[in-house]
Amino acid sequence: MSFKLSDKEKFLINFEGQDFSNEGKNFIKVRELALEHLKESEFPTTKDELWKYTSVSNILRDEFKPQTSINNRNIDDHKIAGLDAYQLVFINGFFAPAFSTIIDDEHAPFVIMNINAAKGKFGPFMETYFGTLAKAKMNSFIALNSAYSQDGLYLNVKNGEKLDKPVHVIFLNEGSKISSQPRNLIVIGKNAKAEVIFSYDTIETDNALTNSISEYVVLDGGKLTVNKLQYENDATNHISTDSVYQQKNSQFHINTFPLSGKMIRNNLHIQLDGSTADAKLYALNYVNGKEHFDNNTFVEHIKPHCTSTELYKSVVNDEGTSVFNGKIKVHKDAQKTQAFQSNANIIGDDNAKAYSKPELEIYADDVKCSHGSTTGQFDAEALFYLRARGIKESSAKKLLLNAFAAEVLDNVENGVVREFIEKQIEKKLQATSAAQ
Amino acid sequence: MSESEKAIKDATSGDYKWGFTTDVESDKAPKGLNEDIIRLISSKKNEPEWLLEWRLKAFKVWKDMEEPTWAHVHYPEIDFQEICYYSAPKPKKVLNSLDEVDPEILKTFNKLGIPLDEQKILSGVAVDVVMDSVSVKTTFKEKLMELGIIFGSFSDAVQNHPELIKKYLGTVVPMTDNYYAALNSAVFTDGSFCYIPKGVRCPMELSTYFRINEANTGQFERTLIVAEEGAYVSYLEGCTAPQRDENQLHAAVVELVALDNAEIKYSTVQNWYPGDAKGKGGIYNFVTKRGICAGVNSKISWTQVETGSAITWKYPSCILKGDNSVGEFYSVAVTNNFQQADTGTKMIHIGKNTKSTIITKGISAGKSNNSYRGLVKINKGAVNARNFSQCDSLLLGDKCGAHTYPYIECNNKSAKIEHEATTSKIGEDQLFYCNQRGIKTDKAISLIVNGFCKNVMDNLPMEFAVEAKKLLEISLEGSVG
Repeated sequence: MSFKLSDKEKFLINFEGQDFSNEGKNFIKVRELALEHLKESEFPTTKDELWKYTSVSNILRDEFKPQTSINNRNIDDHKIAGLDAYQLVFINGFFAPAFSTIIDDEHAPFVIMNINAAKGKFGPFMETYFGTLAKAKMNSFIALNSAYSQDGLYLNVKNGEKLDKPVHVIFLNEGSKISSQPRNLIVIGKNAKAEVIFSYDTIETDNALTNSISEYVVLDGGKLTVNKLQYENDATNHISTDSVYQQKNSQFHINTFPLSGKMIRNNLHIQLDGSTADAKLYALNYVNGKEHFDNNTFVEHIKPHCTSTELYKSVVNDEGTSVFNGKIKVHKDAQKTQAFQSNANIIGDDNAKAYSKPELEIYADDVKCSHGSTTGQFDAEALFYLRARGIKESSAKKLLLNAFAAEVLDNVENGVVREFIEKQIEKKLQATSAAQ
Repeated sequence: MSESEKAIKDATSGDYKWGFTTDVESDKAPKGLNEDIIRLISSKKNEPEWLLEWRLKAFKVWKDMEEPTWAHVHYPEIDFQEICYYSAPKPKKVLNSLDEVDPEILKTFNKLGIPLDEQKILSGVAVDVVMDSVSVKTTFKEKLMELGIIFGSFSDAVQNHPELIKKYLGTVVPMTDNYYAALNSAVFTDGSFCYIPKGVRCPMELSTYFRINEANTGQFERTLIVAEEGAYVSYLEGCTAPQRDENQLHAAVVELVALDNAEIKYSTVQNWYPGDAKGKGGIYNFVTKRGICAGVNSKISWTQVETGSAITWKYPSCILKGDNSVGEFYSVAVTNNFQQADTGTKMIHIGKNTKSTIITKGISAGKSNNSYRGLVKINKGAVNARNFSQCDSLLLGDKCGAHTYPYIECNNKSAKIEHEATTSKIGEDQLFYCNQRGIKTDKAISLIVNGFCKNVMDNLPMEFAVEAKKLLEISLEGSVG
């Protein structure tokens, strides 16, 4: 009798045999629970409402292998030029100490280190938060990461302290059939302040899966700014989960830039669980070729007087696909909520696709909530205006595109990072026009 | 002869073997749903064989389907075998005077401003006026007949115009479309049929109003409206008067077909029993409504005012197949107490230069939940498609919910789509402004609510609009205080 393994089983079998036994008891328990969920549940399909427009069946059919060794390489090309920051580098999910600065003194105003080492040193403190926001039962990708995550950033800024310069974390993949599972935990203390930049990049790969999770806790009056830059190569699938928990008066601000990759799926979940907390979410997708970028956001207003602002924009060319699914949920007690959400898509080619699904779910009456979504192309009148003044069509389009992008880019306060993003977009634009 | 063929033959030959059929005058079939019941319905209606087969096919499809659960509504599971699927029109109990009518209903009539004679008709009081109404109806029918317009019950149409029914039935809402459409296809008992011939502009608003007392159309209604080239028709469904019905589940199907240059305007005012203030009882309204703009320059416009039903599950849609065709959807949905509404529309752009407009106003009060769910889909060939959607919600009270779930799918670069939604409550400053000018709070609320809904109300035929405005007032009575 022949016994055939399902795609899921074949996919998972490659992960078995990794040894995590040196971790603390409670961390091992998180992994064990995640494994159970992984066995019981199925990976999402397009029949799941949340994954309606994004299929992961291709990923499951590729048999990824987690790497065991770290390849030291010259990574100068992958730095952000001119950025003064605490830099941490992870290759194929593993920590690369040679390129990283760590601050692991428990008396220092802040701790910046790789999470695996932190588990040993700050275990009891971390356990309060680790795995509480991104729970394995939410979906199979979270479970996969929770069971097999290799390493990632641990950042804790103590109460009232301020990071003197940003933390820059670079995740790189190299090799064939790579599966890296970065796992980050960031805890911002009361009235503390920090900025984190995540770069997801590729050294060289013909097939890779990055399945990342970041958990953010921002305590009373804390402020955290995150810039998330995704520019992996066109053979990389990236599924990412960002879970945010905010307390009273806290501020969380995230800028997401899916710039390149084969498939990118971002799940961003923000819980505003303290009055007058504020969340800002901005994103600019730049989709070319056959790229498929899917942004799923879920902002939960749990306590009164909170505010959230969301602006997601996409430029879709060639045969690209852009998906936006944003949900705002206002709980019963969250009176005086102000929540605004906006999605704008520019479609540049006949085969490009844009799907937009902005959702409002509101259970409190004294609120101001709105969402808007537009899909279209360049304003013909604006183009005509520019061309009438002797500007070439291609230049005019670029000008309009820059104006479209600026609304998101203006929210990147860090000038060096903004410049870097603009260069990445420029590079992509050139690649597109060269191909045409 | 195979077993099934024999069964069909037995059923259609009119010679019944089943015990209960000997009593043809008896008005109810036994509870439950099976092929025999469907044969019974079909034979009672003296339907041609192809229609029976169509029903049986739908039943087979339905058996393999699962009840949809994606809507934002909650209700106890429905036992489909506990429902009686056929009951003949029952003679209404004739009352001697208005004094015998439920005073609650009378109160509502007065608020709606329904004339005394009409009140009597609606509540089934035997008066001479009914005779007048019948004669009015007959003159209307004669006039329509002169123009070649066919307007009557679905059963009559099956007998008199089988070729039209056969040509269009199930072409817009196929039996495989969804769970309730399949159920309706299997067991529908009656409904309306309307056919406007080429180039005819229907001179009056067609309404089921005149027919509603004639026959009990039952809980599985089926409506089919066909507008031939260049035809125009405005059709009204429902009634602002409160309707009590013993059937809990209503699963209707409405199909509209608009050919070249034709226009169909379909207006609904729905005021089914919403259940009591504690959320007990009330009607489940699971309706599939869809129109196809099959020809060039055709137009379909849906306008609905939904104030009743415990649960509303309804998405009047337009398939914009013909080039330059236009689809419109205007909706006001009011929920109070424990009502739940999940309603919206689908605009599917297939043809070139197609346009659609969606304007919805949701008002929730009490402990109700009101959701807008809509799809705008631009297919690849829909060059220069244009959509504008606006979905506004108004919350009255802090225990209700208002939700918006729009789906926007764009596969064409020349399309322009806009969607906008807002949720808010009645501003204290607005109320203060009215109070200050001597307008009582409840009047002020109805003023503000009516202002909120104006865009939609303007699209209702005039006589409907007047009553619908008052209906809004009544539905929200005492919801804020």
